[in-house]
Amino acid sequence: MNGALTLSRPGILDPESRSGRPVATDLDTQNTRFEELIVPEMPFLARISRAMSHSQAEADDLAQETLVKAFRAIDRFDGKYPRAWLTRIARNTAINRDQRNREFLQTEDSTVEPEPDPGEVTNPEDIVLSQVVDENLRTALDQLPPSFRTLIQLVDVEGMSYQEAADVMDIPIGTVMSRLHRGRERLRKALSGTSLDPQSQNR
Amino acid sequence: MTVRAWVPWTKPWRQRRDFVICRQTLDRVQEIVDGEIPHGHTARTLERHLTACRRCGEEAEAIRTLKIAITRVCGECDPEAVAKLHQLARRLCEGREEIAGT
Repeated sequence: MNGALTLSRPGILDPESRSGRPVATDLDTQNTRFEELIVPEMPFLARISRAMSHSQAEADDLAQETLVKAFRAIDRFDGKYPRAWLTRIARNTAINRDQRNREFLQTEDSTVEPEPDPGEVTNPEDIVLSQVVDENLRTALDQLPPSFRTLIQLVDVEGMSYQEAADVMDIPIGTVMSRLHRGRERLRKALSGTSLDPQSQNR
Repeated sequence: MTVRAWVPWTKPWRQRRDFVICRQTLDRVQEIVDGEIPHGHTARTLERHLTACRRCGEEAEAIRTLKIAITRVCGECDPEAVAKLHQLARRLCEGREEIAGT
């Protein structure tokens, strides 16, 4: 029996086959599962990878590595909550990537300069003022530690609950709340005086 | 006769209750805006306070505005990055098909 082979790449090789020949139907099923569950989440994967990274280039690498890992592990995926599953893989990949400087785990300020992003798509309907505010917000977001930015992305943009965010990031729910609070405070501080800060007139 | 703060439904009692509710609301304003407080008495009390209290209301409004702006800024993703991911996904699926064909 090729038990070792089956264990190392479960699902790819048929456990019954002595010659190690893969079974086409199994692979077809897994391709279909991958296409149905994971491929529609590509924009989501791009967004969270960006939140977990310091630059677009780093985000591209993270997203691609995550996708390859997801593809290899698709037979171990139960099919529920593809976003949570992808986020967990991306988070682990980001932690491995940053093991050298441990930036992702670090909650304090990273000193990395935000990379200017020339490829921004601006909506022509947006008024000039809101564009300025958005630019400031983007800069402020880039200066947040990735762990803060990821939580803000998951809760504010992707609409996850605190509990879901805590589960996929593997942190206590209290940490989710405090990081969200501190992250938002920093963003508001960075934006104070702009139209985004309704309290600016009272301060 | 002085009315003690803890005698229910008296004016000092109501003032003290309002003060406590205000502090609780300010503490939990982020949870209220994020919809994290389960429906029930607490949620109703805090939300009612948000509309009545200027300070808490402004705080909630600031977080709401920030959330909307963040969604606007971070909701978009680099279309090029997504296209690259789609290409990679296709290559991965084809690669697996090749394995199947051999």
